[in-house]
Order: sequence, then C-alpha cells, then structure tokens
Amino acid sequence: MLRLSSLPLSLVVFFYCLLCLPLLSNANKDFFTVYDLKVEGDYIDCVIDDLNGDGLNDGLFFHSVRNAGKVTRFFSVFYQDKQGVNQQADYRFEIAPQAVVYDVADVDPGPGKEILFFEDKGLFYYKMVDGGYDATPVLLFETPSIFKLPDQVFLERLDFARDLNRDGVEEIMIPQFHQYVIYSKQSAGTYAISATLDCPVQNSIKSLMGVSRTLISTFLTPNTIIFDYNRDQRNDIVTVHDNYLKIFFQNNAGEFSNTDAAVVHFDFDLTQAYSSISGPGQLHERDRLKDKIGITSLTDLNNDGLLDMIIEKFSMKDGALNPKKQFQIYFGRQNLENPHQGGIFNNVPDHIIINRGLQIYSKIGDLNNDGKMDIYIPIIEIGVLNFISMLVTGDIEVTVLWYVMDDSGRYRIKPDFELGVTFELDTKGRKFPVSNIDGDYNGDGRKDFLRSQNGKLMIHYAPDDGVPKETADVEFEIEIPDNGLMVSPGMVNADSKSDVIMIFVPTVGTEEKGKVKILVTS
Amino acid sequence: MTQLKTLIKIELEKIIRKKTTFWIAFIILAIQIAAAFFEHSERMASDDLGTGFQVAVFSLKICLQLLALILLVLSSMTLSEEIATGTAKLILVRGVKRRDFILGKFIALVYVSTVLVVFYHLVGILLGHFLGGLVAIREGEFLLFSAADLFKGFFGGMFLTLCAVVALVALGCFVSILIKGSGGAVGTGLVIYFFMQILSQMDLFQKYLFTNYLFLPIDNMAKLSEGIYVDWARYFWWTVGVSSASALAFLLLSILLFNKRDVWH
Repeated sequence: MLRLSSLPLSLVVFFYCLLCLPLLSNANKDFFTVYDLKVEGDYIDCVIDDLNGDGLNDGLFFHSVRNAGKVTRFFSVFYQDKQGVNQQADYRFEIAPQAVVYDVADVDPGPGKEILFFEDKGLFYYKMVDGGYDATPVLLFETPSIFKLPDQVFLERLDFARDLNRDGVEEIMIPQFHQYVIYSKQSAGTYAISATLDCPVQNSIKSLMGVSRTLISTFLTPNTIIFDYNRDQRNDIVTVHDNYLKIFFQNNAGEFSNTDAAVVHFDFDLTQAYSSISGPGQLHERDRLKDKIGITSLTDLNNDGLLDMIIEKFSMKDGALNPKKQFQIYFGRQNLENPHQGGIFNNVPDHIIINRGLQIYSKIGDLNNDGKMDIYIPIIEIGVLNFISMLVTGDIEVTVLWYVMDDSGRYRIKPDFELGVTFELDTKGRKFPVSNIDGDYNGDGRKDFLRSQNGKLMIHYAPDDGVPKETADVEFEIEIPDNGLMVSPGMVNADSKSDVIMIFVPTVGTEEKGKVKILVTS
Repeated sequence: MTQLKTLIKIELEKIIRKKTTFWIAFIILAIQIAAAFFEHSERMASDDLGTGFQVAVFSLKICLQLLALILLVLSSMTLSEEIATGTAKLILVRGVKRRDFILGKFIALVYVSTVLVVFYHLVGILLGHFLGGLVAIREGEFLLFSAADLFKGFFGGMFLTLCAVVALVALGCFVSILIKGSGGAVGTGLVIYFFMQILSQMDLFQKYLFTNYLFLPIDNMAKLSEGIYVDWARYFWWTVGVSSASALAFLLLSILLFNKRDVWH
C-alpha cells in the first residue's frame, strides 16, 4: 500500500521541485530598471555627468548619423529628473564639423557645465543657455595645438580639462607638438597660460601598400597621469614616454614649471603603439613579430603613496599560435638621494607573473577592499578539443586568475584564486564578452565582478571572505551588445550603487542603427 | 611469493633476450637525441637560447610519446602471444596460479618501463646539460626559478609519469587477455588508448582518466622551464590516485577474465 502511494507522491514532489527551479536560481528581474534610449548612429560615445547643475547626473551622447552617404555628428542630451530618464533625447544638436576632441568642464560662469572642443584655431565651447546647450560655438581662447583635422565620423573624448591644483577650477592642458601648455582661469574669468612644459609629442608614420591610401600618420601624445608623486599633498603631472617617466611637480603656489621636474628612467623601451594593428596585409607592420612592451597600470598598488607600475610584455617568439604574455611589477621606492622627488623604480622587477594559456584583458582592482590593488587575469587554455568545442558550442571556458596582494604588499608566485567561468563567443569572432570589476552594484564600497553568459548579465558580489564565488549573486536577463567592452558601470542615479550603461553599435551582421540601454540599480 | 619472483625473473629474461626490445629502445634514444639537437638549433636560429631544461623537456616529450606507444604494444602482446602460441599452457600446467602468472608479467613490464622512463629522463638531462646548460631561469636579472627548483620539478614529474605508465601497462595487460591473438590485442589497445587520449581533452572526463596524466608532468615541466608557475600539489594526488585506481582496476579485471578463460582448448 505504502509503495503504491509513494509513486504519485514522488511525482508530485518531482514536479514541484521542477516548478521551483526558476525560484531557486539567482535570476532577479527587478534588479535593474532598464531605460532604452534612442540614440541613432554608427558610432556612439557617452558621458554621464551633471550637465545642468541640478544635482542629478545626465547623459551626453555623441553619435554620428550616416544619411545618403553624408555623415553628420551630433550631441544628444538626456536630462535626468526624479522620474528617471526619457526614452527620447531632450534635444540634439549638430557638432561643428571642425571639432577634433571634446571634454566636459565648467569653464563659463553660466549655469551647468560646458562642452569644450578643439578646432584648428583654438578651444571652443557650447554654452548652456536656458537649460539647454546653444549650438553656436563660443571661443574660449585661441591657441595652437596638435588638433588640426577632425575625424570624419567620430569625436574622441580627451580629459584635457582637469582640476590640477584642487582649487575647484579646472585647468586646461593643451598638447602642442613640443610641449604641454597649461591654461588657468584668472580672477577676471578669462584663461591665460600658467605653464609651458617640455613634453614632446611623437609621430608614427606607416606606409601602405594599397592604392587608395599611401600613408598613416599618427600623433602620439604621452599618457598623462595626475598623481601626488612626491607625497606632498599636491597633485603632480606624470607623463609617460618611451623609456622614462617625466614628473612635473606642483609648487607651493599651485603652479608647474620645467625647473621643478624630474625624470625617472626605465630599463626598457615601451612599444610606441602597444596594441598591434593587424589589417588584411595592407599595412607595413615593421615590428609586428617583435616583442611588445606596454604599461598595464601606473597607480599606487600597495597603498604606500608611491606610484607603482605593471608592465605587460607580449612575445610571439614561439610562434603566432603560441603567444606569451608576462606581467612585470615594479614597486615605487623612495628616492633617498632626492626624497622630495618621490619614487624611483629598480632595474629588476619586484615580481613577474607568467601564466599559462592565452591571456585577455587583464585588469587591476581591489578585490578584498584592503586598499591594495589585486590583479585579475582572464586566461583561455587552448587545446585541440577545447578549440573544437568552442567552435561548436560558441562557449568559451575562461579561467579568471586573481593575484591578491598580501599584508606585506607583495603578490604570491601562484594565483590566490581561480574562478572558472563560461563566456559566449560566436564562430565569427564578432563577440567579446562582458568582463569587468569596476562597479559596485550593492553599494557596500567594494568592487563587484560583472560578466555576461547566455544572454544574462551576471554579477558576483565582492565576497566577505575575499574568496571569489563561481555562482553569480545576480542574474539579469537582457540583450547584451556583441562587444562586451561597450558595457560599463557608471553612476547614473543618486544612490551609492553603480549602474550599467550598454552601447549597441551596429555590426556587420546587423542592419539596425545603434542604441543605448541604461540599467539603473533598483 | 617465491613462485611470483621466479615468474618475474623468467619474464624479465624473456624481454631482455628479445633483440627487438633493445633495437626499439635504441631508435627512441636516437630520436630523442635528434629532437634535442633540433630544438637547440631552432633556439639558436631565433636568438632565444633559453636553458638546457627546455631542450631536455622538448626531447623527452617526443621520446615519452613514442615510449608510451611501445609499452602499450609490448604489454598488449605479452599474454595474447603466450596464449596463442600455447606457452601459457606449459606454465600453468606446472601448477602456477593464474593470478601469479598475470602479476609476474605485469611486474616485469613495470620494471622494464621504470628503467626505460628513468633512462630517458637521465638522457634528457644530459642532453640539456650539453646543449644549453642546466641553469636557473631568469627574466633579465629577475630569478624566476633556480636550477634546484627545476631539478625538483623534473624528477617530481618523472615520478608522476611513472605512476601513469604503470596504469598504461595494466591497460595493455588487460587488453591482451580480453582479445585473442596478439595482432587484435595490439590494435584494440591502440584504439582504446587513442580514444582515452581524446576523452582526456574533454573537461568532463579528463580528471578521471589516467591518460590525461601520462604527459601532464612533462607538459608542466615545459611550463616550468618557460618560467610559468606550476602548482604540483594540485596535480600530485589526482595523478597518483587516478593512476593507481586505474592500474588496480585493470589488474583485477585481467585476473577475473583470465580465471574464466579456457586456455586448454
């Protein structure tokens, strides 16, 4: 009797469990409030900032629209109010055809922030009038710069307006061919040159084999980092050159000069353009097969106030199918001969990490919230059958290696944690997975791990015990851009939780125009 | 016990008496030396001299892949040949237990395999010493691994390889009982071996197959010789555990099968 009744009972339990499965998963439909913004265009870029000064962050979207063969560049502005963000832009306006690079800063006494851009003649801006940007450019000041010719389809953003001396007013840094010129705001509200810093721009010229084009000429500005290099509580300007760092120290008056500068030499040469540009055999790549050296990170890793450096060395000595990448970590040390000049680096790295597999898109971030930077390296181990399985299923097994800095400020020789995750990859290689550790989605002050899998955004919260979990804390089903790099965290609403901005640019396979989704944490 | 010792001794004498065994060992040695010189010249051509460990590992990897096949063929033939030719009857008629008969062959083969694996590792080290030098691995002035670390890894890897080789020999013995006729046994052994190698590439199965651990130590050694950290502890227990379990399972199955096999007709 008992046996007979156990069968239907088992079936009931089985189906009940089956129905409960979705409840048991971490899928959370209400985690984000999704705003679908209509931003039509081939290329889209965005800035999230409080444009109108109402205390809420707004969205400024650059987009270029192709119509009957003609490309027009636009700015669309989405204001945020207490109800959120509108689907349609509040307004859009055409960008001056001669605009080369832009930034957002407060340079005008009027309300809100201005959109600054360089033209051949000098620096212009769009002023906010009656709560909206006036499409007529206003000249801020005339100046020569390296920005002569605009890109026809895109408008690049460059962070050239920065508050260098922490007085609440942004200075303008202008790259010229042989120097950086800094303009500061005067008491009268006008801008004047406050420093001219020797800092050469490089040019890389490559000849082409194609008939339609002959040369590619690229100006290379040194990367510029604002950092208190000598620990005197004042920001300094650090510029990165081929084989040295040049530091311009800020003096007591909040000014910079060539006399107050120091040079820190490296024992290696950085590759001019670290990322290799491999075209369909049209480009003469003189150093394509040579070892490439680039800087992955230039920041204070061990929280000692001195700048540290992670060098990435990429080698194809063992063949193009067996590339090798290594990370060389140099910790900044106090310059004992000139203590006021901040840190120097040893010739020999303090630590080297060489890993197995193909390494992709490494980053640094504070995994365990101890104020020290940990290293995050996703790797793909390629075996013959792994490769076939990758092609068949479209999934790729990625192991994320975490190197956690210990209490002594060092990394261990082996990774502290390995997290196995699956990423989607299409057979044509047009997909790039979402993978970043820059956002804090639960507002606990620690960076969380955001990734994508099977059409879902997955969030792994920074664990309390510092040990990463393979199971995601949040799974949110949503359309994800093919290029995962276009998914980034940002602070859109006023809470302390990160939100997500997703930009969809048209690909070869899609006919549709671009669009933007903003995911606000509920 | 004495009977088993005698059987092992007889089996070893049989193997040693075979000239082909020596010829095969010699050919593998020649290939190993050629591979070492090839790797050395390749590195010289690309100005990347590396260290002798890289040369040793490269030559050894090729040599071990060949050796694995040869050992599988030898072990697959060992019983099937004796059953086919009737020599098994002559031994069993003298009161030798079937279990001891198999164990004797298996232990003799393990003994020969161990000698060969150790021999080729030593040759690899010697080749590395002369073609590059067995020195520490450095990146510029940064010491990645000392020579002592590399030696430890090399000989630790050799031990782990031996564990997996024992399982391979046990597989060969099992196949030699399973299939009648030495040709069929060798063919079946090779098919099973390659099938297991394919499965070893799959994430789902690889952990549980001894074939995954056959070349894993030498692959790890190759990583170590290029400056990549290898967590040996992570692989140690799996290699020893899976290899021992596989060897034991194949041996037990072999004994069970052989006990049921009619060798008299």
